[in-house]
Amino acid sequence: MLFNSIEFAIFLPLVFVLYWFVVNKNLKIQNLFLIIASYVFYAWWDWRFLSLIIFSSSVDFLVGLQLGKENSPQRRKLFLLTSIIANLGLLAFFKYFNFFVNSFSEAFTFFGFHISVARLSIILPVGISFYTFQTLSYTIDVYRRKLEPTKSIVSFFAFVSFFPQLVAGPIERATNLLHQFFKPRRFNYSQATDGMRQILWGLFAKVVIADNCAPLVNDIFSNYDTYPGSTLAIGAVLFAFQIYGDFSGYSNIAIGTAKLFGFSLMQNFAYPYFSRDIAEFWRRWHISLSTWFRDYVYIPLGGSRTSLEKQIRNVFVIFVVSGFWHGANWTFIAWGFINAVYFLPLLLLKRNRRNTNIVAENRLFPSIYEFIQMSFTFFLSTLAFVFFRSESISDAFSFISHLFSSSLFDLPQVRLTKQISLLLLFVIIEWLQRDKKHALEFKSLLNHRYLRWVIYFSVMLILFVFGNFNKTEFIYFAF
Amino acid sequence: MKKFIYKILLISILFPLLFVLLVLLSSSYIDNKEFNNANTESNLLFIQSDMSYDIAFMGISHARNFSRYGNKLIMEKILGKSILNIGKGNGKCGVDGQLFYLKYFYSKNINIDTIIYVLSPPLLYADYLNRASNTFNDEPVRWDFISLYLKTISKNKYQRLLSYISSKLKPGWFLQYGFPEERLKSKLNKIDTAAINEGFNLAYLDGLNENIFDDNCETIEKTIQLAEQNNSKLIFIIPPAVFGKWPGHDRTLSFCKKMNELYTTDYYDFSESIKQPKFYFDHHHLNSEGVKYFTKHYLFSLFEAN
Repeated sequence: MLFNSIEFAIFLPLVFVLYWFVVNKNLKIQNLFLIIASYVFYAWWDWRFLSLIIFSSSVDFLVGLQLGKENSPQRRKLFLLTSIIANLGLLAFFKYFNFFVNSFSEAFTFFGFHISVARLSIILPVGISFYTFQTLSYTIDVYRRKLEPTKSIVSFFAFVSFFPQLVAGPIERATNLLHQFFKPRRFNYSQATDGMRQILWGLFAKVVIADNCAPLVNDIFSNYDTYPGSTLAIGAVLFAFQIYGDFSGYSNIAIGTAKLFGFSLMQNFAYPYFSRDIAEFWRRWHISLSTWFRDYVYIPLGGSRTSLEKQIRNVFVIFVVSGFWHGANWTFIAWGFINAVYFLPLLLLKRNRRNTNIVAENRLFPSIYEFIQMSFTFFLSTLAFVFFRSESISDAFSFISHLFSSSLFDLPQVRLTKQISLLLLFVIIEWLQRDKKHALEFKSLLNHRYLRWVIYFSVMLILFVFGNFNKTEFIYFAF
Repeated sequence: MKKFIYKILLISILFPLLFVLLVLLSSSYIDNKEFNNANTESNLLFIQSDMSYDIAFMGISHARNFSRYGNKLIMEKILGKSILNIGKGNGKCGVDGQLFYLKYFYSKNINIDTIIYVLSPPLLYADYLNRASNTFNDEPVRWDFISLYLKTISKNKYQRLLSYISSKLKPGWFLQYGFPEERLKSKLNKIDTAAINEGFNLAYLDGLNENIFDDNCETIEKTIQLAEQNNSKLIFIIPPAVFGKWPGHDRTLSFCKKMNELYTTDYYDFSESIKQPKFYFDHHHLNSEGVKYFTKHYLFSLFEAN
């Protein structure tokens, strides 16, 4: 079920009413109801793949119980390994099998050997990368004794399948989300209204920003060899906004929806395009994934408390793996690699933790230096996103060489009045709200009821007038 | 909880009310201005109930082109007949939309003697035009129009309705510009094969799909039946193009022949009739000179024959 669909517009109020008015007497039944609602939400796409969620949840629940009982380090490791193999095995089979087979075949062909390989026609189950990572975080944390294993199968299954963030995150940690299933939920008016505002902003980012950029981006990236460099530059910038609007939009809707049910999820995007360097960008972009890789890959590898050579290795490992997580294509690996290359000078100069505060804090405008820093970071991330969007590495290189040709200064061959106006509005609002968790969190305006309502109605009006309501999927569903 | 539900309900009532109010205001603001068939791409803005016309044109841009700016007056003068044009260009309307417009105008008690259905072959191979969500974006909001449309089977119906209604709040609605006049007066300098092929790619977005062709033919047959029920004679014309025949021309022509056997329709193939570039503003749209020439030398004799 898509968040931007009629089905979800019916599903959400229905589940909300049943959750708060019918099954609210007993926590176990309320959690059980959440599991059913989440499975319906998922099955709307393809019910057959529910079995994978059930399998993954069952394995990790049982592994968790065993880890709780077991004291022998070897046996504990064995249990953890079972969970890792089960989850990453699912991911490897459904997401990466054909990629590995193709890559081996191509490698053999490169050296002059021709081998025939069997490819599987597999559908990628929606959200598999998200829920496998979420459930893995549970077993790892239990293994590390950071978390007590849960004995409540209902709470655990509800944690893994919680529908707001099931298919595209944020990838929640058990340490943050699981305990929320143990506590009786009381309806909180401010939390719910804030959730509604966050949903509204998420829809705006998705339907107005991302989906209005998408047709132009698709056209420009499909026919990049026929357009001048100036148009390709526009295509690249629009894609940067498309993917941000799409993914941050999904995250905001997910977090906002969770708030309606009394849950608090982690922030997934913190205005990444206002970052002053790539390190800051990665602290603000897809935070739940970046911190997942930091905690479960980077730090176990030694993180930054090791020799410089190993630090460099760790940076490349984390970025390349993170790129590969996004998709079974060399383009994603290249995207990760490029970001590692961007990050490297900051690491070597020990400047990767320089910009940890909010840009132009307590000021309306950034300084010229900050503006240049933000523009340069945006330029770098946009350039890297060309690899993310392209069909192949060679396409990405061709796109970039066309972009930086003499035609970069030709008149662009696209009409952009609508997109530019909407993007300007979006960027201005996000800039003004960059110190908040989401752009419609109007703390200072809370006492001005009419002003608040004018803002809600204006955003809703823009949504209905300029929104693209064709059922376009969220990009991150594919990951 | 009560407060939350109360506010959600309040927004759910107030917002649609406000939205509809704004839509109606902006729609009537333009609706109250003077428009005619020549200076707007809309059909509802200028057509009134209880009218009679000698000829009505239907089709895509090749049909609409006969009424843009001075073209309508030129045709009416040469043919000595009153003309209505409900053709729709700019990739907005397919055979489904055309049938709906005709149905609506008959429901408004508009009498038409002869319908000229400009049957451009790309129209018959296009499903994307039947799915276009912006078909009615040029039209003012009319309740009877919406209510008839709700009763009609149509692809992408609710998407189209949402686009129709919300378009009233977009800047384009207030600008309401017709087709650029200078374009109609311009001349094609030379025949450019690459541009023709590019034009084919744009016109046949769904390829030469025979299933789509058959579905569209079925809709046109319904159009014939509707015309016959309302005592209008229907004539198909395949419009001229500087390159002559479009891909799918023969199938289109044989469909016309078949309809001629089954119904009282006539058909004329003008695809090869005008090959001089000076009569076109692109490779398949007649410019004002071309419309004049075509009306004088082909349409006039067509009406004489009928």
